Formats: sequence, C-alpha cells, structure tokens
Amino acid sequence: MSKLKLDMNVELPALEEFQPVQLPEACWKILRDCDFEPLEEFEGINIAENREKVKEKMKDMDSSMVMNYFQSEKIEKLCLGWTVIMKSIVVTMFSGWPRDNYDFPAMPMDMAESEKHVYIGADLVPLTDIVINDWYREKYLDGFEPLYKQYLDLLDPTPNPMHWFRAISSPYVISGRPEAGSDRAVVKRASDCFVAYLKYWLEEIVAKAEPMKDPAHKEYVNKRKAKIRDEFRRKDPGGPPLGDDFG
Amino acid sequence: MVDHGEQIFFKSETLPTFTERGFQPILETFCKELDTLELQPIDTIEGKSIKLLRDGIERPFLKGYFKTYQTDKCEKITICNCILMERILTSAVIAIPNDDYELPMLVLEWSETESVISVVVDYIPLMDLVMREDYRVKYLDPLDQYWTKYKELPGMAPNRFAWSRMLFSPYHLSGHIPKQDEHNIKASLELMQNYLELWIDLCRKADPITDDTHKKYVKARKAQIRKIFRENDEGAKSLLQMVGKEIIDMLLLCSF
Repeated sequence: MSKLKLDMNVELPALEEFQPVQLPEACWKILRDCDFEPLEEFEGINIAENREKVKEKMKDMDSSMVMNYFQSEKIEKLCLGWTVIMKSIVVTMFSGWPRDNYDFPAMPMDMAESEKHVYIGADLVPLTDIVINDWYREKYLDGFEPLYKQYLDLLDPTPNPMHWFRAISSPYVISGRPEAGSDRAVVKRASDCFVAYLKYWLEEIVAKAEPMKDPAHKEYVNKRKAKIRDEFRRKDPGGPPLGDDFG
Repeated sequence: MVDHGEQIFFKSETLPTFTERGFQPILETFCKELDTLELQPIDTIEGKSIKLLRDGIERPFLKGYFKTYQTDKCEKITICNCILMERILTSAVIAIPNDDYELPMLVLEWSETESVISVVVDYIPLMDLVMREDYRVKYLDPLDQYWTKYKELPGMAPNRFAWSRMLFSPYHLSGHIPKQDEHNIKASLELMQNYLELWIDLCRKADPITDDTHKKYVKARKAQIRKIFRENDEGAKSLLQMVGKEIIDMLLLCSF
C-alpha cells in the first residue's frame, strides 16, 4: 500500500505481438509516495461511477482501462492510467492540472506503444502568454531545455499534425512517432522521456510553486486554463472515453 | 517584371540579383508578389538612417542590400538580398503591420548554398492563440493547405531555438532542403510564393482594430516579439564579427 493508501494496478499485460514497457509502474514509483490524496469527485462527476461507465464502454470495444485520480494542496487533478486497445496498442496517460491559485504549467502526456511504433506526446502547457510574460518562461519552462535536448531524437521531423495542439504547446513539447525497432530500445527511450518530464514537473515545478498574489493575473490564468482544458476535451483524438478522463 | 541578366526592376529601382551565379530566382519570386502592393520606400526607422543598407553594402564577407518600404497597413516590409562569404545567398521578406492592424507578422527566410536551401516560413501571431481561437481561424488556418503540402519536404525539421519556437505559429516550417532533386527546388520556391501570396491577400482584407484595449495589447506583443528577435537573431550574431555592430544594428532595425 502506498502513502496514498491506494493499490493501483500498474502491471501492463503481455500482448501477443510484444511485451510492453512497464511505464505506468515507473510513474507509480514516483507518485506513490507523494503527498497526494485520491480524488473522488471532479466538476460534479463521481469518478468511481464514471470509471465504471468507461470500463463498460471499453469492453464493448474489446479494450480495457485502468485510471486513477489524485489531488494535493497544489494540484486539483492528477490522472495516471493505461488502456489496452483491441489487444494491440497500449496507451499510458498522465495529466496534471494546478489548482486555481497556482499558475504553474499543466502537464498532459501520453505514450502509445504498438508492435511497430511508439507515439509519445509530452509537454508542459503554459498558463500564460509566454511571449508577453517572459518571466513565466524563465521561471517554469527554460529549465526543461536540457531534458528536451536529451530527447530530440524522439521528435518527428514535422510537428504534430493537429493545429490546435501546436497552438497550445510549449517550446519544449516532445511529439513523435518513431519506429519501435526490433530491440524496442526507442520504446524504452520514449518511456524514459515520459518519466523524466513527470519527475521534473513534480520536483522542480510543482514543489517550488507559490500561490498567485495578483487577482488580475489569477483571473487570466484561470480563464486560460479553462480554454486549454476545453480544447483538449473537444479535440483530443482519444475522444470519449479517453477525452473525458484527460480533462 | 523584366529580367535584365543579374538585375531586376522592382518599383522604381533596379535590384541586383544573383541568379547568374547559379542561385535560384528567389528575389524574383518575392518581387513578383510584392510588386502588387503600393510600397513606399523609407530611409529612416525609429529616427535612425538606414540609407547605408538601402543603397547596398559591399564588404569582404557581406554584399547586398536591405530595402525597407511601408504601406497603408504595414509599418515596414523589408526585402533582403545578400551574398555571404561569396557562397551563400540569403534572401528574406519580413513584414510588420502598423499599430492599427492585428494581422500576423510575415517572416520568410531563404538561405542557399551550392547543395542546400534553408528555409524559415511563418506568420507570427500578434495575439495569444489560446485565448483567441478566432484569430487562428481567421489569419492562420488558411495556411493549413500549404503547411500540409510542404511539411514533408526532405530536410524539414523542428527549429533548434526555444526563443523562436515560442513565437512561432502552428504553421511554421523550417528546414534544410537538399538541392539534388529538381522537385525539391521547385517546391521550396513555391512554398515561399504561397506563404507570401496568401499573406498579401490577408493584408488586403485586414480591417483596423477598433478596440483600444485590444490595440494596446497587440502593440505590446509586437514590441516584445521585436525585442526577442533583435536580442536573439542567429544570423545577426554570426555576422557581428565580420561586419561590425553598426551594420548589424541597422540590419536588425530594418528587419524587426
């Protein structure tokens, strides 16, 4: 049992075509001893009930899903989960959103592993306009530069095809779909990148974040956060049911 | 436009070009589109003379010119055409709307050697695209057809610099395109032409900003973008030791 008093099923099943990288387990090792509490309700939605509905939908699609939700003093919603789609693709998802009195970047990430490819999307989405507010970039984003450079090989030569996603992304977004390769070393690298982004976000961003003091800034940040969340909910290709959870 | 060997006529001027050295007709491509605008040449920016660059400079490492113009909607449109170290053609069009308009800044950069064409194309938004989805739809999404057509040209790659990635629109493209294939060369020229042609069309249709608060925000964002470019421009940094600070400061003043 973790400090969270939760036992999350983090063991991805072996599939016929490949043995997936145990990314949820790697993330859980970081999260399990954090000062989080389980999140039971969000925006009036009972999470346990919703989870059962999602599970049923997934069964109809010959798929399965495990999702867990947490919260803390600074984080209003943190989600870690995985899904196996039609016994051939494993998707690990993570998202973290600050509470309304914090302005640190949100973190949406996902990694999809199949026999032939791995897709990774990892970013820290700024909650202000970083062109105007260069202090925000310096405070929260620039520290990611060494990590970003370390995993440049995972990027596709051309950016993510979704324009709405490119409009939201930070300068340090990792988005790519390289071939898995026969030794699956690239899959391991994508998993390492995912874990490194998560670790940095928790330890260097969230841990050091201070509450906002300026009411005007706070109002703007929360409007922007709502817009970003709305974009993900309306346009994420994972769509329902994954989109509901990502929100 | 009449082609006279290494010179082309543009507005009331005769501009030297470098096609006879084996470079592609990029200046001709730019001028053909820009010729449709009512461009007025300018000699001073922010109270400083730019005549030296307008008339053209000839230094051991840098030969060429920066011609800056204005229109009723743009505070400046600069055309650059230079030869660096006798072997690299650098040509660019940078257009910045005046304070009454919110349409994006145009950045088209072309750098050509014997074997490679390096390109940067973008419309830099003067608004926060998260808060203003309608801005993206109006001024940027029309680029989708061209972005989709050219994004997989060989050599396209993410930009290396975080400072520029944060300014870019979702339709930015950059890369180093090999010249071995005629198709790549043709596509690179078309990419420049398509981005320029569409921007001119958007500029023609643009209406002035009516809301003062909005106008103030656009102006502040434009100033910040200009500052970021002037502080970080990689081309200027690498030329600094070769041509000196005076030329570089003027060059940045013309461009951003």
